[in-house]
Order: sequence, then structure tokens, then C-alpha cells
Amino acid sequence: MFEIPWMLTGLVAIGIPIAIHLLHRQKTTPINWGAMMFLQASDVLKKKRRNLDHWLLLLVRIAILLLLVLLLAWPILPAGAVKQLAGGSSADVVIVLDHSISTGILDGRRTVFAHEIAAAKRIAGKLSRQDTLSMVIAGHRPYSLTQFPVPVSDNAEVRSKLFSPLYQLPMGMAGASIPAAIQQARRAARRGALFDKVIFVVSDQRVVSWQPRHSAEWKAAYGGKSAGKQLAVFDLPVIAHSALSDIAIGPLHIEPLFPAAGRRVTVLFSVSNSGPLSVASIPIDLLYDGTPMDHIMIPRLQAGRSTTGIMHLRVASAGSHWITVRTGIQDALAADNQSTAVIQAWKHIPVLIIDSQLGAVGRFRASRYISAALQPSTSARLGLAQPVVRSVSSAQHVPLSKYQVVIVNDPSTLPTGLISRLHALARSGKGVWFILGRNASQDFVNSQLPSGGFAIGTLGKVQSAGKHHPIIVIRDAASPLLRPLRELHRNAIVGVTLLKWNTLIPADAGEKVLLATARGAPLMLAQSVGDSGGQVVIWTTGVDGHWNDWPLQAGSFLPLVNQTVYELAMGAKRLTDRPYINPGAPIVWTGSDKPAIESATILDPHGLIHSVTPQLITGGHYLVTWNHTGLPGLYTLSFKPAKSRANVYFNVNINRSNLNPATLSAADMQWLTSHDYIRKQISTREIATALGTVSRNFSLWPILAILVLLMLLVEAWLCRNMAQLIRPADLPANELPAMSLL
Amino acid sequence: MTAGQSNTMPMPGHQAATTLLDPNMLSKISRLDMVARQVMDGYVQGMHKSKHIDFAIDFAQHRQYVPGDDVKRIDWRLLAKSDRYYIKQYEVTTNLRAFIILDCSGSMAYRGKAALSKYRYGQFMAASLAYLTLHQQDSVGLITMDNTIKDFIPPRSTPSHLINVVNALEARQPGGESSLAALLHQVAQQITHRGLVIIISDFFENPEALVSALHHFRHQRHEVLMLHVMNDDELNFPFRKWTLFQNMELPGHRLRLDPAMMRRQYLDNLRRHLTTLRNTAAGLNISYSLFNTSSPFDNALSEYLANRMKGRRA
Repeated sequence: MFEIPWMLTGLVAIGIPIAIHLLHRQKTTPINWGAMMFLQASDVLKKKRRNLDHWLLLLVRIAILLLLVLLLAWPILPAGAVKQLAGGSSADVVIVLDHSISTGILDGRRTVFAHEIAAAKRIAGKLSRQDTLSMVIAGHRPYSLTQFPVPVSDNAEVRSKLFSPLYQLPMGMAGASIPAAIQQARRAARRGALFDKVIFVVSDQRVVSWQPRHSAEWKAAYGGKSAGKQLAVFDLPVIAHSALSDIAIGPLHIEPLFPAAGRRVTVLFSVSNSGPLSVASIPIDLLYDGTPMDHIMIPRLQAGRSTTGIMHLRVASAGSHWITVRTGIQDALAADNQSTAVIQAWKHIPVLIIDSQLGAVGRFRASRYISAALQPSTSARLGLAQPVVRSVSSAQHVPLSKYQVVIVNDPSTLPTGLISRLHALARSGKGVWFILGRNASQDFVNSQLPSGGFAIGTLGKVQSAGKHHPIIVIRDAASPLLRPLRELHRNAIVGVTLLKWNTLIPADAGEKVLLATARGAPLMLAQSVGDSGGQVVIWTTGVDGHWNDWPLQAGSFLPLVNQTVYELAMGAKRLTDRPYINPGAPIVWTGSDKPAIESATILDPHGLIHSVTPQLITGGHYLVTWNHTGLPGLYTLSFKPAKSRANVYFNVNINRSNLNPATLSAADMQWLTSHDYIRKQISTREIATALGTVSRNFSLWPILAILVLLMLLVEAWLCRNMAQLIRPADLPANELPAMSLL
Repeated sequence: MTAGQSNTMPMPGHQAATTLLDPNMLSKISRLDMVARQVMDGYVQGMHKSKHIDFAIDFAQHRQYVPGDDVKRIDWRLLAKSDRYYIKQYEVTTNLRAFIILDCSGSMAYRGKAALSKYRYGQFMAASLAYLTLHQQDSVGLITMDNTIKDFIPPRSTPSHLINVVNALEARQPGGESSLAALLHQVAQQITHRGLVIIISDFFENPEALVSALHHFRHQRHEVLMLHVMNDDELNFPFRKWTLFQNMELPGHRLRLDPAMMRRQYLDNLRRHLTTLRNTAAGLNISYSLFNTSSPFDNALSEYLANRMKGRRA
């Protein structure tokens, strides 16, 4: 039998070597010869052998072509013939074990995954001794336990390489893709030499893992084809029937978003009970870098209800820290009983205020309010932001890279070089805050700033409030800069007096208006600069007390100024320092190039250490990226030398959509079988029957392939021999008989 | 004989003789005497040295007188000068008895691209040497053989004897298997008097047997000349295409070969054979010369004879 019989038409190619042989056959010339005594018998035999070699070579070449055509036609021996020949039949069997987060659910005393292992053992028990077995774990990234299939006849090997590792696997924390696992299983099966391939998918039938009707996923799993005759894929469901409650801790919200060392932090989270039973009390622990810091007890929680937990801690030091909230309650699924967030605590934020005062002589009166808002007590240095006020002239000589935020407080002009340096600072991921008050001129805004790189808009005339003070409205409620205002007053700044303001027409759509008068005159704008997270904030009214009474409104001015500085200071860190990253999203860290980093490692939630290479990027920064974050949990980035930098933590939360309890419906299964992605859904009792339905033919391909290789070797050997014989035998002239030749 | 005389030489009116004896060629060789380098044993006084040193004309040497010598042979003049008794000894010249042995086995018929077959080449050589020998008043005989002795013409010195030799050469055609070594033994037994034995053959024979036969001749004190005639094809084996080699001496024996493959081996075998013959000839003081039928016969023979003349003078 041939799988691709039309390939046999290639047999006509056998005529090619025959034709070549016949065409190249040399015509024999008869000659009467006397000196026969010099044509010795042994030599003659050798020459005859060469003649024989010609025929042998022809035969070998015909055989090579014949075997190649047969190879391409995929010859197989029918199952019956194989059984007669070998006394049995065999297949490469692969078991796909679903290791998604939902398989951690307790069903009775054992998890679903433990039930899957038991089902896998039953499958292995039904296999014949000629079969081979592989195991593919369908986790966040499907992988095969062994590089090559293990012969079923080798019990010790099967136990040690396939089943023992299953008990060592940590609980599944991520989702799984059954199509991707089948793709991996096909690869594992291909490594087996047997013709028939059988895949058993042992899973809890979660729709989120199986992805029915996702044609692209399933086509990719089979390389754009259906399973075919040689590959049989069976679905073996292991459905969980848990009667326990399921307590889940939701994602953590940290307040404030930018905590500082020594300051108090509030942690808010949800606690839900998705199980069928209510829970009397739920003990909750708060851990700070692994150390218990707080403990609360949530009273009775009904089935299907949720509540909010609030816990507190004080951040001990600046840098990266992780906070975990967990409950030790015994429920259906342990994976969602804790939640972690990472915080980046500031020590202080260096802020430079460039006052409108041109020379150093003076008291910087224009900046006194904003300076006081950032640092109420100059002696105690209580504020997170630590401002330094400089005049326009002295600011030219200040190294700007020392500061996270530069506030340009209403100067009438700035040196062009300083404007360019400020723009470079913003491009590197830091913040620049322009306050345009009574000193702002159109020449400064419309000409000087654009020539230095800033295009903040077109400055028009100064507007006055007149009799009625304008109402200030929030134009961008989602902006984190307005967070204090939004939370305190919800809709606007109430009770403030605005006398004058500059008219500013925004430069482009990228520049957002955050605060404006009711008539639409922008009062506060923000725009991003570069790709490093740098921001520019523009206020169109001064803070020196002449145009408004904002500085006197401590309830809104202080948090607004500080929030603006925090946001501007976050800059590049906003892109990288997040409390969570989604599974699969990359870890990105940037840091100063001083002190130098020799090497870096990432410790993943499984305790494996991976080396990463810090790269020096433009702007004097190191960049570390790591893409393999499919496994939820805490990732620790460490540096060498260790003393130079503290560890940086990244947290990958579990994807709660993977806990969607929906299982495959009959329609889903119908879709899978109709597309030939699954041959049949079977129970553990039907394993033997399923194996019996596999064609279990015997492929002659490997044998033929070996024969082709052997023939090629023989052909090469014959050609080499003949090439040696054919080598020119001319003797040099001085070797001709040196006689008295007359 | 002069060059002018050669135009009318040697036997007008005889067809066979005129075919084998080309006047131009004869004019070249007639001035070259066929001189035996070795002492001949003849009865008729000729131009060749005799083993008898006694009563002839040419002075050879003085020898001290011993009692018993004939007193007539005492050199009285020397006695008068030196007061010592010496007798004079003289060298006797005798005529040459030459036997020309021509191999007429089948292999001698090979011609290839040459103008003459080996046998025809040998015929010309035999005829010319016979003419030359008779021309210098010596006697010449002819023996032709393949696997048996076909012709045996005893040596004569009469001019008319050339007709017999030439007719016998013309009448004989090559064919049959070669048994040169065995027949040379037989000839060596039949030739009782010392003489010159000229063997013209391709010597496709077992070298050991051939050496034994040549020993036999030398044992009989014959001077032996080996004139080895080969075709250029046999010397260089220039064939390239597949060839069916049919044995000229053994009908039915054939070999189908790729000559390009065989050439190195063939030439090795040939060189070994020729080296054996040359070394054997040198060891037995036999003159050995290899003739290629592609070179003109007259030039080759005259050069050969000239070389022999030089050897005599030396």
C-alpha cells in the first residue's frame, strides 16, 4: 500500500541511468595482436571487474531511484501483514496533561491534576510493549518531559522519566493552550520512528484552555492540515466536582501610588468567595518583602459574595519592594488565595525651580508658594520632593541630570542653550513644568521655546476674569495629574479665584488640556516628550499670588503640585515600575549607568535563575528586558556587584480569566470532531478501544531511507574505485623502454 | 661495390630478389662490411679473424722459442739484434659462416600503422644481411621457424645462393604459434661450426627459455646478433577505446579490454621483458638491437651496421 500512489509515476526515471549507460557504452574495436604475453591474466581480471563494476553501478543507481520513488510514495504495510510479520503492532503515543491553573482545584482529596496523572497511568497500562510513550505538559508554555519517546517495554524508564517528574511539578498558575500543547505533542510524536501516532489529551475541559472555534489556533496546531490517518487525537476529560468554597484575593491597590521611604502605605484588595459554601471567617496576612506586617480577620463571607480589605504598612526603605496579601484558608483552589504587588519607594525627588528672577540676588519671591508646597519645612526636609531654587542666570550652570523635575516658574526669557538642555532632559524621561504667569511673553513661548525643542503652543493675549470669576473644570478626568482634585472634589476646583491667565492654543492633538475655564481657555496642559516617558506640564496662570489665589488653597494646591511633581518625576519609571505585569508581558528595567553593572540575573517563581545582559542605551542608562513571564509569580532582578544596587521586583499576577469555569459543550466537541482536530472524546474505560481503532500500520519509510543511504554509500564507493581505475595511466617519457631503439 | 653498381644489383631478372633487395638500400649497406666481431672458424681465407694463429700472412706477435718449435719460424733478424730466440706468429683470416634465423610466427605479421609488418621488416633485414654477407665473400644460411623449423638453407658463399635465400624468404608467410626458444636449441645442435647467428624476431617468448637457448649458442662459441623487431603499437600501446585483442598465434584466444586502463601495466611488463633481454644479451656478450618498424628499414639497418663497424675499429 502506498500513501501517495501517484508518486509511483516517478518510476519512469529508472530509464535515465539505463539510457545513460547504454549511450556511454564504448564500442569494442577488434584487433589482431601479438604481444598478448604482456596483457597478464590478473590485469585482465581487474579490467573485467571494472566492466562488472559498470553494471553494478548501473544496478545501484537504478535501485537508488527505485527506492527514492518508493520513499516519496510512502509505502506502508497493512496492519494485518505487520501482525503476521512482527507478531504485533505499535504506535508512538503522546499524553498531553493539562496543567493550567484550574487543574489545581481540589476534587475530593486530590487535585484535578492528580486525577489526570491517574488517567495517564491507565493509558500507559493499556499500551503494547512495542509502543513508545511521551508526555507533554500543557502549562503556560507546553513542553515535553523527554526529548525522545520512551519505549513502553522499559518500565523503569517510563516511571523515572515520565511519571515521577509529574509529582514534582508545582501547582499550575497560568492558563494553558490545548492547541499549542497538541502542536508540541505532534513534534514529540514525530521523534518516534513508528508510523502511527496517537495523542491523548487529558484535561478538565475548560473552554479557556481548549479554545474551540479558534480556527487559527487549531490550524496552527496541525500545521494547517487536519490530523490525518496516521495521527489520532483523543480527548480524555477529567472533570472536577469540588464542593468546597473558593476564596480569592483580588489585585492589590496601593495608596499612594508613589510611596516614599518611611511613609505609610495603604493596601486595598477584594476578597471573594466563588464556591458553593459560605466561609465563617477569613484570616488575611499582609507581608512586606516576605515579612508579616499586618493581620486582619474578615468575618463571614457568603457564597458568591465579595468584600474589600484594607491593610496598612510603613515602607521601610527606598527601592523596590513587594507586598503580598494572602489567606491561609483551605479552599478549592490555592492558586488564587494570595495576591502580590510591587512598589517602588522613593527616598526623595530632587526638584529644580528656575525662578523668574534673572540674577542670584533676591529672595525668589515668585517661587515661594510652590517651594513651600513641595517642602513645608526647609529645616526638617519632610517632603518627598526637595526643591532647589535657582535664578535664570545661575541655572545655566546647574547640571540638570541631577534633578527629576525642573519647574520653570514664569521667566520672561531663558538662554537658548538652557532650553535645549531642558528638552534633552524631558526626552530622557524626566519632567519639565512650565508656569506661564505675568512675565510670560509671546517671544519666549512662540519663538524661544520652539527653537529649543519645546512646542507647547501659541501664546496669545492675557485674559482677565472681569466681574465673574471663571469656573474651572476638569477636561481630562483620567489624567493621573488631576488625581488629588478628582478625589477631593470630583469635578472641579471649588472656591478658587482666578483673575488672569494667558491664552495658549495647544500645539497639536498630542497636547492634552487637563484643566480649563468653563469657556475652554486651557489652564493646565500636558504633553509627552520622546519615548522614554518624559512629560511637559504647562500652567497658563502664575503661582506667585498675583493672578489667582491658588497657592492659598492648601486643600487642593498642595496635593496638585505634589502630584504633578510625582507624575513628572516618574517619567521613564512609569513605563517600567508597575505593581503588576500581565503574563507574557516583558519585564523592562532601566537605571543609571553609575555604578556600573557587571551582570544581572532573574529569579523566576519556580526558583530558576536566568542570566540577562544589561545593555547600555543612549542617555547613560542601562536597559534590562526579559520576555519569559508566562508563569505568574514574583520575578527578582539582581545585579552584580550586589552592593551597588538593591534587587528589583516584578510581579506577574494570575490571569483570572483562566479560572473561567465554563467547560466544553457538546457543540464545541462537535466543532472539534467535525474539523478532525479531535477524533473522539473517550472515557478511561474506552482507552483500549480507542487504541484499537488506530490504523497501526507499519511504515516502510525508515527501512527504505536506510537502504537509500546504504545504496548511496555503495554508489560512492564504486565511483571512487572506478575513478581510481580510470586515472590516466600514461607513463612519463623517461620510463619508456630505454633500449638501443633503432 | 659502388653506388653506381648498386642500381643493377644483384640478380637481374629475378622478381623475388628485386622485391626484397632494394637497390637504394643496398647501395647504403654495401659499403658496410658484415664483420664478425668474434673469431670465426672457417676454412676459406677471408676478412674475419681465425682462431688459428700460425701460417698466414698477417703478423700477430713474437713468442719466445721453446725446444720443439720449428726452427724455420725463428726470427733471425731479432736474434741478430737481441741475441735471443723468438718465433713469429701470424693471424689467419678466414671467411664467415652466417646463419640468419627469421621468426615467422603469427605475431610477426602485426603491422599496425607502420608501412611494413614485423615479418616483412625482418624479411628485408634477412635479405639485406644475406646479400651483404655474400657480397663480402662469406657464406650465409637461412632458417625460418614458427613452432617448427620451416626452412633450413645451409650456408653457401656462391653469389647464386642469394637467390635461394630470397626465394625462401618470399615463399614463407607468418603464422602459427612461436616456439623460438625450443627451436633455437635445436638449431644450436645442428650448427657444428662456429659462426655468426643472426636472430630476427619479436622475441615474444618466455625470457628464461630464451636465455637458455642463447646460452646454448654461446656455448657453441657462436657470435649471436639479436635483432629485435617490434611495432610502434607494441612499444607504446597507444590504444584508448575498448578493444578486442585477438591472439595472432592462438586463434580463439581473445581479450576484451579497456586499453587505457591496461597501459601502465602493459608497459611495465614490456619494460621488464626488454630489460631481461638486454641484460641477458649483455651478460652473454650478445649484440642486442631493438628495431621499431615505424622507422625506415634502410636507415635503421645502415645505422646498425655502421655501429658495428665502429665497434670493430675500436
